[in-house]
Amino acid sequence: MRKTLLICRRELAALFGGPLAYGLAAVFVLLTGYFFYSDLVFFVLFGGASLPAGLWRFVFLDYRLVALLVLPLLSMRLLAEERKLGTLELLWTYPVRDREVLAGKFLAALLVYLALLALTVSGPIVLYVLHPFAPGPVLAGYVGLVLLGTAFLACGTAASAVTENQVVAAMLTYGVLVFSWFVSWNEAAVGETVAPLLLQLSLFDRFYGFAQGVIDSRDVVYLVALTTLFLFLAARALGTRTWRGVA
Amino acid sequence: MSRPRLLLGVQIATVVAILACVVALAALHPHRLDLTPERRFTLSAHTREVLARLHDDVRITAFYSSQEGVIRREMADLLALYQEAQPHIAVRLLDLDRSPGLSQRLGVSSYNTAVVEAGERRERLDLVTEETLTATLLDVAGTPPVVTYFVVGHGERDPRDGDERRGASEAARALAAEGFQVRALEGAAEIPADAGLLVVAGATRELPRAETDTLAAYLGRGGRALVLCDPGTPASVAGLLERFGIELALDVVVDEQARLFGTDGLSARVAYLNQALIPTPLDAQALLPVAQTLRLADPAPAGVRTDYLAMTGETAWADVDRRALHDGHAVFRPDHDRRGPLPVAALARIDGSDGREGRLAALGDADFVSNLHANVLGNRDLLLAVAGLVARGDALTGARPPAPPGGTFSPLMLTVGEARAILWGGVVTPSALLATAALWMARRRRLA
Repeated sequence: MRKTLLICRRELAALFGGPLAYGLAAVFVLLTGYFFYSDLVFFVLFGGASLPAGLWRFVFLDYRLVALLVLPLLSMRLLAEERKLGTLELLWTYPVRDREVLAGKFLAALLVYLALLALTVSGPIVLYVLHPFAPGPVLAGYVGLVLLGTAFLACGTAASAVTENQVVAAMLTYGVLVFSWFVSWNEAAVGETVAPLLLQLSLFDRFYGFAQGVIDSRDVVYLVALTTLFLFLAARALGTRTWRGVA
Repeated sequence: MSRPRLLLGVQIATVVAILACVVALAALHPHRLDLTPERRFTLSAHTREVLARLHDDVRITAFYSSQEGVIRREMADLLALYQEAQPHIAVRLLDLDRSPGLSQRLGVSSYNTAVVEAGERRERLDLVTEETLTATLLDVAGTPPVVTYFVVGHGERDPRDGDERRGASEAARALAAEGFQVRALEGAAEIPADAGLLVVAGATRELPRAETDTLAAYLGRGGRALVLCDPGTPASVAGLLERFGIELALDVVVDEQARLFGTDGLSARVAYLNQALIPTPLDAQALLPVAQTLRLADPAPAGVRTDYLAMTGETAWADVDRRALHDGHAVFRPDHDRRGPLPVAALARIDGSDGREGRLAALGDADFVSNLHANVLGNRDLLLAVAGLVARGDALTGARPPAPPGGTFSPLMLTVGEARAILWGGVVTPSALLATAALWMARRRRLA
């Protein structure tokens, strides 16, 4: 655990020592803020009487898209950059296990993501001060964003573990995530027996309940299971060096 | 394939299989935490009560458009709640365009329509909401619709009238959602043969003798009626009730201690229901604006059994001279006025001439079914519980789903200043600060 935290701290220092984290945070906050404000204006003018259905649902569905855009950029460098610079091999010479390296880096990315999410709370807080509202649906939305973003980051970590090129890692992550979104888009293109299955597998459909203010144990378990699978794949990708002769 | 690759494949397959089992197990035992303030994704107590009464298999076939994913998802979510709550319900969700044969057989030609089938009975819903679906289940699965006539023509509340103060269209809508087919009846000189329930909601003018005789005869034949009487009810209506052992006390209920903020102390809260007749208490107390009390004749007329149905709380008292109505304020006189709890509703069960039991419920208020008050606290539930008791012999008392928010007016009224505060405080300032930090870090790195 100590080694994991050490690697996490080192990763955070690397992230915040350069402009990347701040740039991503600025884009993240600007986009989420823009969506929040425009959804709010739309709700005030046309949105009907229910805050969860008329405002929060759209806000969190939009935040989800911003997470899709930003998180692969955050995760792409986790292992790929180290591999490209050769520092990963150096890291392997230390008495530290693969899973500790992986956990440390993933934890660092997750902490950055949580910090990004914390920055988005400013809009709802200002609104709450002006017009108090029931916080339950907002809480559910953020729980969903944490779980969905964790799965995104795990996917990005796995992609970053299989290549030394950051752009390839980011594109691979975008490919997997966007496919898991589009897979349930055109139900008319698949059979009626396949469509429900695809809906069950779609990452984004699993988020829909959270956006509406409902935390469903099935969605929580699915997102946690997917995160576990991606992290396992990342660990296996790192582990293959022993029989591929990488190190 | 080399051994390490094979081993890797086996490991991945094993983990995928384990995780799939975990996801499948979670799907079999779902738990849902509904954090919406109006509990939009939780079935109401009323729906659960109706579902608990289903003993036969029911099949719901819903048709959607694959191009309208949001509506399909909402419909699927709602149907899944019903399926989870009642194993007798089977749900089919079909793309209308891909099911021309079945849709034609079921008489469906538009998207987002559902057909509910139980045995030989079949009902179509053009709008799939909890309210409509539960009403259809109630209808299809054993509880036939009750043709309900609101007698009008003597100043009564009219179910066709949408006026906020005078009309009773909200009450009619609530009744319709529970399987009551609501119609208006101009005068009670002749009562249609299909009448399952007659409602006289607040007559302000005398009913001709012929009409009260017809009503009495209808009840004597096993008819069912609900008579709502504001203070000042015409003597002809009071006389009709007296024939069946229910007397209007001609007073007014005052409740200063339990009055709600903003009301004048003349609203009577229904604190107790007769549990022998309505076993489950209502989730919220009903509020009767300007009510009078009732008395049961002792002894009851021959062939009639009477019971009190609802009482006010202890803090209410009966202003026997109705001074509160005339002077606007009255003080309790211990030797003159009556202390609560006070009866405000009663039920008479009449031995019908052909063996069918007639039922007459009387309430000491009619305002509570007006559009202004029908959705206040437990008023709608009280009306539906009493109507169910009179017409069907049992009362469904669970709280109904909240009425869907109507119109496009938002409850959030932002001023221009507030909108600016949100834009600058929540959006522009934080992102500008972060962008500045990013530029500063980039510059520092370049200089380093």
